[in-house]
Amino acid sequence: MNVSKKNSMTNETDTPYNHEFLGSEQNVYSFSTTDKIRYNVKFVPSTYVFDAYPELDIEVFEMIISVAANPTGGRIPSDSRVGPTIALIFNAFIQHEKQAIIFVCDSSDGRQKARSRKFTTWFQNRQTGTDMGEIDRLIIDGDRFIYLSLIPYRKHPQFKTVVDVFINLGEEDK
Amino acid sequence: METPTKPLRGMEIVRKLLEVKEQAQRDFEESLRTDPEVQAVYERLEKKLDDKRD
Repeated sequence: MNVSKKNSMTNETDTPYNHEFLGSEQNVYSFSTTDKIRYNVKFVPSTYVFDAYPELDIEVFEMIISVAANPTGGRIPSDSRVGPTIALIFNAFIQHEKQAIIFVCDSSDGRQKARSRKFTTWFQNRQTGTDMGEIDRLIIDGDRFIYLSLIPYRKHPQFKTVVDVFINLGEEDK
Repeated sequence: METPTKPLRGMEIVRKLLEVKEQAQRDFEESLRTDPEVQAVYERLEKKLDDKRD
């Protein structure tokens, strides 16, 4: 995997943390940081996203990164090893071109834009070429700002339709 | 006979994605508090990190 190649060329600050795959139908991965921040990364099957388009042959998963146990309290300290770890988990999970990932950042704590930017950076640093595309959307639902990213394989046979459907998501209601 | 479920559309999908995400965070916090297997996984990962630093 290219991430390992990158690690051999850089210092330990970029080295991914060890992670464990816990399995279950939600495809759970766990890792912890040197600051004892515990992360849980899930890929939850989300077929409902494209249910209205049965002609689309696609397996969508919502990638959810949950964080807990911050012993220092307050904001989670910045850690340059978290991004490469999430990239490694992402690469371990994604196996074939009919899979696609949806990532959601909401405005519950006002940091949705920063979080969305961070995810984009992690995704771009996956270093596996341009095999997957990222399509970003900002959806406003009342006073809520929701950043959505869809990451499908560019080689998906219905790539253009998948992108079109995603771009119009939420617009039908307007 | 069961009525087929109507596919979600538009904002219903977006709200469902948010709901699933929020539930996942709650489930994770709960599992850390109550599931010894999950606690053991993190303790093992943290021990490995501590051992590397020694």
